[in-house]
Amino acid sequence: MKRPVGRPVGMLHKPWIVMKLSIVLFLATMMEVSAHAYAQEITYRNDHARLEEVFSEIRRQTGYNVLWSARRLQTAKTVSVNFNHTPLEEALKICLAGQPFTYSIERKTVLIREAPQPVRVVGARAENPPAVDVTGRVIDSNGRPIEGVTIQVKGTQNGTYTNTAGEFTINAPANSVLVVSSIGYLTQEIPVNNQTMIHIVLQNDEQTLGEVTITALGLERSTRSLTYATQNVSEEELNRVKDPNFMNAMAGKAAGVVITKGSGGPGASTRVLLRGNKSILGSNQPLYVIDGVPMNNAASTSSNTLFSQQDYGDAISNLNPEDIESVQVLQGASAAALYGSQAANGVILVTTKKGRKGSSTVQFSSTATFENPIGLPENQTRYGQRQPGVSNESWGDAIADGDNSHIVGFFNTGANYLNSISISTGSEIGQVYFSYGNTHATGIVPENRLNRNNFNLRATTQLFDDKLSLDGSVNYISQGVYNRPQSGYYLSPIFSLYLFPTGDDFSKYDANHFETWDPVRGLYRQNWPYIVNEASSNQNPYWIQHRNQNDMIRERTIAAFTAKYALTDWLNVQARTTYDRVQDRYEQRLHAATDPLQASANGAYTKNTSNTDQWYSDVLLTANKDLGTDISLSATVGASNTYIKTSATNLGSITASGLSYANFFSVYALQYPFNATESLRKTLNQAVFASANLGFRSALYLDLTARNEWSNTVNMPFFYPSVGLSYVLTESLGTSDILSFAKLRASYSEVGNTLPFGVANYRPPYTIDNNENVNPRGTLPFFSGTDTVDLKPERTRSFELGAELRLLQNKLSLNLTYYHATTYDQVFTIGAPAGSGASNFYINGGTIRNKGVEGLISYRVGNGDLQWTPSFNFSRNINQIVQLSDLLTTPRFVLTSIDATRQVQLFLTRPEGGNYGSYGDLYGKRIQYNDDGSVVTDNAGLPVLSANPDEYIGNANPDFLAGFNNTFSYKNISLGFLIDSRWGGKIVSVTETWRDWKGLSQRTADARDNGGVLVNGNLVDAEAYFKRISGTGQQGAADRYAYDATNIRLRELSLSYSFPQFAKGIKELSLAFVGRNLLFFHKEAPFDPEVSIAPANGLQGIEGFNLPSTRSYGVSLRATF
Amino acid sequence: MKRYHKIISRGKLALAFAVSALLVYACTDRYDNADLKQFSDEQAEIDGVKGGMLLPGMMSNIVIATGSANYQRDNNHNGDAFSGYLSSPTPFQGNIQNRTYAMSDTWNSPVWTNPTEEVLNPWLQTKKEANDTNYPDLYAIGLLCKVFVGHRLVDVFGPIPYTQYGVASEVAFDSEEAAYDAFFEDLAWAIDALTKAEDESPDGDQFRFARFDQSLYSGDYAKWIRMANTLRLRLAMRISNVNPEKARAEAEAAVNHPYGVLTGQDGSFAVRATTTHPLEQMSNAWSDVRMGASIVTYLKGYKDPRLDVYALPATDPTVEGEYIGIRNGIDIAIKDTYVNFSKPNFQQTTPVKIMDGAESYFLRAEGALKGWNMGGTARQFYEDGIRVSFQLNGVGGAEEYLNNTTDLPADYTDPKNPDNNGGILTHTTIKWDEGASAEEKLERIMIQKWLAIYPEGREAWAEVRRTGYPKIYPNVVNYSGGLIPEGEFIRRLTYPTSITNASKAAVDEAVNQYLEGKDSPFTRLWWDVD
Repeated sequence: MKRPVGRPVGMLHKPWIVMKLSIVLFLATMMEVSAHAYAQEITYRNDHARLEEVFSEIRRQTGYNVLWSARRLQTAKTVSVNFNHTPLEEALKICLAGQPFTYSIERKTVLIREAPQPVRVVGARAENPPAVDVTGRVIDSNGRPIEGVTIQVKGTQNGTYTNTAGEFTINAPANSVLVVSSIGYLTQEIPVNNQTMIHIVLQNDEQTLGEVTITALGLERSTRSLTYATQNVSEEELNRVKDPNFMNAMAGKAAGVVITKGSGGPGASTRVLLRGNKSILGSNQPLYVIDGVPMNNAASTSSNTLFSQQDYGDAISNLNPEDIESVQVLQGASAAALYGSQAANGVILVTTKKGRKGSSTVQFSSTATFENPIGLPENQTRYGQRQPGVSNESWGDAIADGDNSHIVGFFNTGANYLNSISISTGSEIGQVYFSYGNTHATGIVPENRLNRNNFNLRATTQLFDDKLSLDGSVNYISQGVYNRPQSGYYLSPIFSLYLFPTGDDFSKYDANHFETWDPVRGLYRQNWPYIVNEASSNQNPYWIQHRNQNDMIRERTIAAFTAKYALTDWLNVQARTTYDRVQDRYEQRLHAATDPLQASANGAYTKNTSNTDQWYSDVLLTANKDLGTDISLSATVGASNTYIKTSATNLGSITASGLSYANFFSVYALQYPFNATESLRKTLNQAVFASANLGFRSALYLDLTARNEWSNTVNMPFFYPSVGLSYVLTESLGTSDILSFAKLRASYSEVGNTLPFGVANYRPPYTIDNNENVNPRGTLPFFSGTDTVDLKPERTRSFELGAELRLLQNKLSLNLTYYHATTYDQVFTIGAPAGSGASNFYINGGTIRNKGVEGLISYRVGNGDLQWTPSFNFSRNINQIVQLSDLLTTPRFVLTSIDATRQVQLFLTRPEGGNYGSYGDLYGKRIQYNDDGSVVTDNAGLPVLSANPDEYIGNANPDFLAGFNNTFSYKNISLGFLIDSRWGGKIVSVTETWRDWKGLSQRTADARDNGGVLVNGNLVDAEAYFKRISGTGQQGAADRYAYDATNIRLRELSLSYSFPQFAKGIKELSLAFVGRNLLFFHKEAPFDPEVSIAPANGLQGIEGFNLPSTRSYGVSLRATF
Repeated sequence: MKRYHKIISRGKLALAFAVSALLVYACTDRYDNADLKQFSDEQAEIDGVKGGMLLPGMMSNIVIATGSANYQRDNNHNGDAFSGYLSSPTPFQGNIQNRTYAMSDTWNSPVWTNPTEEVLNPWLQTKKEANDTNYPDLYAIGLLCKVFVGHRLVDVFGPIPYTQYGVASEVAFDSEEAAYDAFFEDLAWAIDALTKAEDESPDGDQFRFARFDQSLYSGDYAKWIRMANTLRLRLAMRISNVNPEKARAEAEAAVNHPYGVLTGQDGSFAVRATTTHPLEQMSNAWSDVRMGASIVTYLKGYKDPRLDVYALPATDPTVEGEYIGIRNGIDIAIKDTYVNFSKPNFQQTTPVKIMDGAESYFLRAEGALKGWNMGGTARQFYEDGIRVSFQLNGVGGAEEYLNNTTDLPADYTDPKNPDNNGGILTHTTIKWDEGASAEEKLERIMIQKWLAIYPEGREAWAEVRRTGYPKIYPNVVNYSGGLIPEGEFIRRLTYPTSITNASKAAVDEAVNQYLEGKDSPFTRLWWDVD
């Protein structure tokens, strides 16, 4: 008989040096630490008490959370108790005496678990097979070892626990069955079947009563009491297939979350949209909240045009994904109501890791992925140039040696290396988490790379009988992105690469030949015969990447401190402050011999520095109290203060005046006049808020929140309330084998979208030109003569209904939500009437409604070795423009003008005859048709396009999204894949338009082969036809270039293997092969329709020489020591 | 036990709220909702800057000197092309736009918005600041800028809001006649204010105004007054066919003002370009501007020495070394075809001309032709105008030129497309012929004024419409959809959506009342009568 290798939970364990350090660290700052025994007492009498009743009473009287599994407790006997100021532990012992349960106390939580029974030595009987030593390892569905799992031979009292590495050894008969159970997991029975090595994967038991969800402000709330939809994405899901911007890994994993990857290579901004576009001029991106504190997602500004489209990266992408414990998506306004004016677009709550009590781990993870472009255009190879090597078109004679391999050849294999190491350790009073992450990525275009270092130190401690807990962290991030490629027209390597004429030899201008020595000037000149201003700037793509360089350097420090004090057992106060400082430096160096459209003969230089400082503080007073036996109250009152200061200094040459000396990239070289701008803006937002959650018999919950807010960008205070109700049906109806859990919820809320800075200012400052000319005030809040209006922040009133069901003993779960959110008082600018005295007016002028459904269905299949956990999420959003102000005298608001894209414009239209326009409606020119269906033609027989680019083309937003996420695990092997689909929506391609104009598309070659294009049965000249419909790159027939964005893809695939423990120090070692965007099951557009050229509101549904999207694959190694 | 806890907790609660108060109210200073680094009203008070600070921007945006993209739309895509001065090798928007008589909204919008934002709104601001009483002389300069853009707007669109500008959020449009009446009133006010200031203190302008003067007149009110009188004369001439009495009165008042009109010594009214002359950037860096066929045939045929000053020889192999312009309104498939025809000759430092120094001579010549008291004869002003123009362009040979009785404009041959060929535009020669018909004399004056005031296409286009001279090549391609009959010239720009969207009611009323119900490019303006 061997002793179990495991140990009971709560026993002292080997101290680690790091842990000691942490203790010293905290002791140094504290005067006294005393460790009293728990002094909680219970007074309760009941002769036939069910254990649940006793536990409820304990929870009520002591404030201790008692966790148990309802199903297991069904086997418990009723007890007769008579406690009178009985200490907690004694009370627990009394009521568990003779029961198959034991307890442990961690902090303020009592865990009730099945008791390991004393092992009885039973004499071997002849008919029984002999007992053998079975060793094994228990891991969770994510491959993490689980400590303290009870392993018991079925039908006996023989049992043991797993150790910190999840390992156990038990002496069991070869034909026996092991019962594996642990709190928070589903119990499994594993037949021994003569095995001596057994791997067990435990699945989470989501029915655990004590399950909590992190909600707004970081408040932990019992999941069953929530009155709105939220969805959790675990660290494992996020890190399965990594991306330098971790938000890209969210795609397809949560219902109703539309992720559109940016077009700027590694670390580019990602557009995230929850439940549709709500704001016209304001942000439509969710609020990011890190550990309860709203984060400024600064510097994600992007221009609304296809010209000079530079992505400066967003702030959320700076985080080290390994530091993230979980991401909670609060899709709706109700969930986010406590954030008031920032909450209209939903919230993404990020919880980061901290040191854990009682365990010390070192975790190392390393991922290397490689990526190749997909969806590249294939240029025709049959027709060359009119003037070989000179003219920038391919409308010449048929040729035999045409080649289009330069497009594929230009791109490198991109590489992303993400390495991270973290150390987590802790004792009863102090815990420390430290991590270092390094991300190094090289893009698919030459010279583009990203390097990021993340340092994170977090220390937590609990003092004075755990009454005071302190949590402090410092996060330092340094990131450099070099030569991030631009998309669109200017300075885009993609533009000139895709439009390189067929017939010319690209190798004449390649990486070794993109410049030639100019002995007269003594510098290298660009080697490219196609620098001609034809509606855009055309330069050698290698020259752009090597000689039109840009650096984006970011240093960021986030320091956070939280103190929480338990005033009584039911009341605590928490104060929290976070300082987030982002320092950005941007430099652009355009060498001499750059296209004169972009730079002077001596080159061009731009240097920008900007800082964003955000100081957020809040104080929360939280109460958790049972009011009588049936009613529980959880309430919070608090106040917050957010102060944001942004400053920027920008210096840069002007093309006409340029630099004093060639290639002297310094502020010294700027010649008058040059751009010199500076800004300093301070915004202050203060709020008081309160929330209350009333529970009745753990079945009915009422949730109320209120927030009153003052902001210096708004001239008046604002109030944001919410109310919600949830009802756990199974609490009153009881559970069955079919229905395990059922809940209905409904909520209503009002939240805002704060006014953009300066909008409400009646006397905005004058602006000054480079030549010191003072310019007047242009865009003002609406006025008439001397009358002015007060602008209000946008307000979203939303209503949602939801249901959560768990069926078939929790195997099948369903979560459905219907929502209806109307955003009022849209702030936008209208062209001021002629003669009014302003150029534009800001008005509160519109109402937009989003309604839709979201759903998540998950199932758990398998037992023992083989597990399959499929989950399916879907969402449908309908966006309607309900009203536009009468102050806007036109039927539409121009969100993006034709000038910005030269192909399509985005309008918001006033409803007409019950038909609603929708955000993302694209307008452009169309080919005109006669009533008989024939094409309207001109004298030359060519199609006639509409006179103005204002015919409806389609809507940019998808009709329906669905993601199908799967994990199969068999013993140590786990296979995960995500099939993601997007249905409907249009994307207009500027690239395809230009390829037609220049005679590069296959269509143009086929037409020439056929002797022309048939229009109304008449053959017309191919060149004339394509020039007409492409509009020679400006205002072509947008309907011809609008593609259905529907696509179904294998977004993620991972195959991982968890090594059996082979060395003592290694707790876990797993290796995974990962892939992203591996294949399309279906795709309509010739390119990946899910890449956005920019996160700007007005550039959705437009593709314009985007950096192609990529297929990536690689390996990921993860080790825990 | 519980009681004890409560007492403790009360103390702690108080403490907690004290902490919270500290955190939350530590920084409750209410900042103005403003960017602290921007130019504010407080700064404008120092040194009395607010009196004149908006003037540099205003005078730099009559003819746009502040940016090539704005100039391109404001001037080049309409007046510069329609006057026969300049053309473009670029087939913008599939070659279907203003230049081929299809009204381009994106091009025409800035024609309205630019002068409104850069001149009319700043004027309103100075008016609201009561600058007309505080700084009447500086206000007068702004008023002159306002009249300038006002007439330029009326002359392209027709009715615009002028007299009611800024009174309410939506105001009625003025008829062209009412606007012109207001121009004369504003001009009279400005001229009086400047005359008073100049008479009281001849050097005062140097202290008060020179720092704000972007023009070559360097803050000299006397020159500004003569420029204002010339503008008054220009506008009087413009209405001479519809209101001859008023025209004559205004013209004579301008000429007979103590300071008079511009002379050769004053030079042209021009401002320094912010970075570069827009036409320099547009012809060199952008390759979007080339000489127009019409003006080159006149200059070439007349052996005009100003040709070398105005244009550069072509570099296209078919016409290398020659001066050749591009005919306007032709079929262009690709930019390469005409990109190497003659460029206009502008340097970065070339000032942007708003009113040519010789214009006053030609206006007086025409006035004299009408029998107005202009202080001289038509011939005298005609010949002096040419002399001044030659002098201002730094070329000699004026007397020889004035006596040329034989040379006619050249014909036009397009080496790329014979469809665009055109014959000699006129048989009118240079030398003044006192015996010629009034019509021929008018044509002669108009041709020479047109050659002198180059490249200000907006003014040239207006005068071509008013008088029909000089004759220029009509469009070969016409995508107006029948609005402009074949062989006819465009008469105005249609209202862009920036106006029709924002002021629909006012526009509808103006179109119905003053434009014969048709917002068409072929609707003639009030002063445009045969």
